[in-house]
Amino acid sequence: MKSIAYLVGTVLVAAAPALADQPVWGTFNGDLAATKFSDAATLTPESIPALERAWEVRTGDVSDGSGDVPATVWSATPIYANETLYLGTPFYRILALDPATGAERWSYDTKSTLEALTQPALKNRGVAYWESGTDGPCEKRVLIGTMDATLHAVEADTGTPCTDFGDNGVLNVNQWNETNAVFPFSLLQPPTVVGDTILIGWAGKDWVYSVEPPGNLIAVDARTGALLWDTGFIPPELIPVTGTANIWSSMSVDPDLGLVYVPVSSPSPNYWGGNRTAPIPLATSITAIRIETGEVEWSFQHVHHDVWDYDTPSAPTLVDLTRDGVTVPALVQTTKQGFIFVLDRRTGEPLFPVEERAVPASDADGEQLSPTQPFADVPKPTINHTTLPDVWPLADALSFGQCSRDRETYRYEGLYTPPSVEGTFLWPATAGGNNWGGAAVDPQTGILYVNTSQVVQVIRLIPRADYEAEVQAATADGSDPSGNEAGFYAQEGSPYGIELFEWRTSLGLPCWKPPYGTFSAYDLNTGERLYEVPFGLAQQWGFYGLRSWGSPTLGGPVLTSGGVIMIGASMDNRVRALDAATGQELWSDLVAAPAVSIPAVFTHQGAEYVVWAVGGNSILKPQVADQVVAYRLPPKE
Amino acid sequence: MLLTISFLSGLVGICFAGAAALLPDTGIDGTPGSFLALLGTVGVTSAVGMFVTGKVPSKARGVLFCLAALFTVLTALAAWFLMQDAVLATMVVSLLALLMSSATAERKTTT
Repeated sequence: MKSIAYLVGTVLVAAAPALADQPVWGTFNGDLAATKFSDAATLTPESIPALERAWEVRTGDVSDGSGDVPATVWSATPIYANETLYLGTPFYRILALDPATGAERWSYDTKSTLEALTQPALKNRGVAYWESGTDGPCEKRVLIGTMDATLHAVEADTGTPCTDFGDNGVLNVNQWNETNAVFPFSLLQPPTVVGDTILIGWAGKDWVYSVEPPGNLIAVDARTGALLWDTGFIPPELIPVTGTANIWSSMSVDPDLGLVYVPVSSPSPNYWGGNRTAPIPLATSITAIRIETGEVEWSFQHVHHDVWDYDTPSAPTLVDLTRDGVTVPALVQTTKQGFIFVLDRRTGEPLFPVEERAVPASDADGEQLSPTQPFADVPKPTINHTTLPDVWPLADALSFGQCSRDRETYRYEGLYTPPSVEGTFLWPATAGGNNWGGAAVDPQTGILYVNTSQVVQVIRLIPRADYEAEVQAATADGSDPSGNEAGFYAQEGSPYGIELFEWRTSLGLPCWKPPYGTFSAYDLNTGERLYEVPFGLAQQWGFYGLRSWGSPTLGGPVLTSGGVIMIGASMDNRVRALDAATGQELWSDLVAAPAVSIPAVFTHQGAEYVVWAVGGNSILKPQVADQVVAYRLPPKE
Repeated sequence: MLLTISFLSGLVGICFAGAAALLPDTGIDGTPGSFLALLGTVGVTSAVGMFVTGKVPSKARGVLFCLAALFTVLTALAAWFLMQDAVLATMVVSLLALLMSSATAERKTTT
């Protein structure tokens, strides 16, 4: 009982943004403020070179897609709570592990269908944890969602279903998928738990159809699964013609203000908006919703009429900043476009200037773009999108000038150049910039740390009449080869399908000049960028790039109070520790695949642990794994 | 003696390159680059092996020597970009031993 009270107390402390100080790692982002800040004080630049592997576990839940089971993508943050480490797997199982040894305490199989119903792969980003603070069966629960839209609640000590939740421990979330239900609500991101409320977003595939389920946030009771409220993001009059604007990523919460901050994605289809020319104010936004009622408190739309899939990718980070000697409760949103929007989280008002600037027009049929888009110059964007990166001479030479010819062929007139039939450079790419890994922040200093990908894609609108023939010509069997961030996308119901691909030579070399990935730090009080350094190593055919080139990244950083950044994310199968003061690498270890996840950093029985789920993601490279790997400092003599 | 060292170093290089290409979780396993490095070590070792066994026609010695040296350099370069320090080290040793054997042989000829 004492430990439960302690845990509840610490979870409550963790929920307060100004006091992000927790011995647990109870949510996807470590705490409800999404600071990704750990009070692991012994993990310092001086001690970190001694960090050693404590244990490693293979879950067995992995597929490279060569057989009957689709490929897996595993980006789970391990959850440390109840003195246990909980993981969700891409086969939709829960594993409960001993944090000190990795030994399995129990496992639970949702028996979810292993079909990629809404994604090109089986995906999982982990589990959520709830506890009531009292003793008894199912007073502590672990929650996992599935590809086929069920949410399972199991007893945290034993892994047995909590029969009072939903139907014998299984809640059919798809029961609320009532309109344009062309796919199920895939629950790939763990829900957000605040008090006794579970907040559920879902993932779909907004690149396939024009008319899709309208995006919403669903709140259910943590004990019973009963619906508390359901808030939609598409205006009712537009629901017959569009959809999504859903929440596929994690959320953050300020319990004191009673608000949940949700990253709302773009409406369907992704790359053409002629079906949705009327405003959808909540789409591609950061929206604050009252937890008690589901009412929208405020919303900040950072892309108007999104046709670039620059949807809001991560939970906004909550931190208190000092402005003119006054403490301001702030919210920081990193974006795929590379903007860092800093808002007053009480009102949504920007704390640094945000300017509406004219952007290029579209010549696509029926398209009516917004004439302006919001730009924030301070803090300095993580991507320089004032100009396309230069052609890389090496790639250009090896491709006999293909890169230069592409540069002349495809359209780029700055950020928000619209997709076109002749082809348009997408800079940054649809995966960003900054993606779901988000940023880490030091709640004491207000310094933000973030990894950034610098990737150029090309998007081409394909008139409907030509689409099937083009797909047929491009693939051996005529099947739609759509991938997660590249390939052909049907956009059924619109006048255009699309093709999306990275700007590379026929040999696979990037056509644009490095770097391909960076790591940066910003003082959010002043907006000043403190440093930007190349991060990770790019890899092609097994060969590593130079350090100065960096690597595209997926996954996020964690900051320790000892001044160390723990991060995987790069395509070179390394997990790393960086000096937070400089961004310089202090330590690294080779793992089984790209660790496209946020690590859990926590203290267990007096020792501080860093644990990654290592699963890979085809966006970076086609390598998958099922590795859980834990590190700790050696015991003192 | 020096040719034998070069040959043995090449053999060790094959083992390291094979392990990097075929064993799991090496960071490069199964990649084209890893197999290229493996092929390089096999090529270098085979060429040096021909010198060791004395099965090289005298007319072809110069060409084969240059090819062996070139392959060793290229394989070492590949190993460097693959971050396979052990393979790199074996190729460096192999190359040095090969070059020294040539120099020694020339000196013997001239004296």
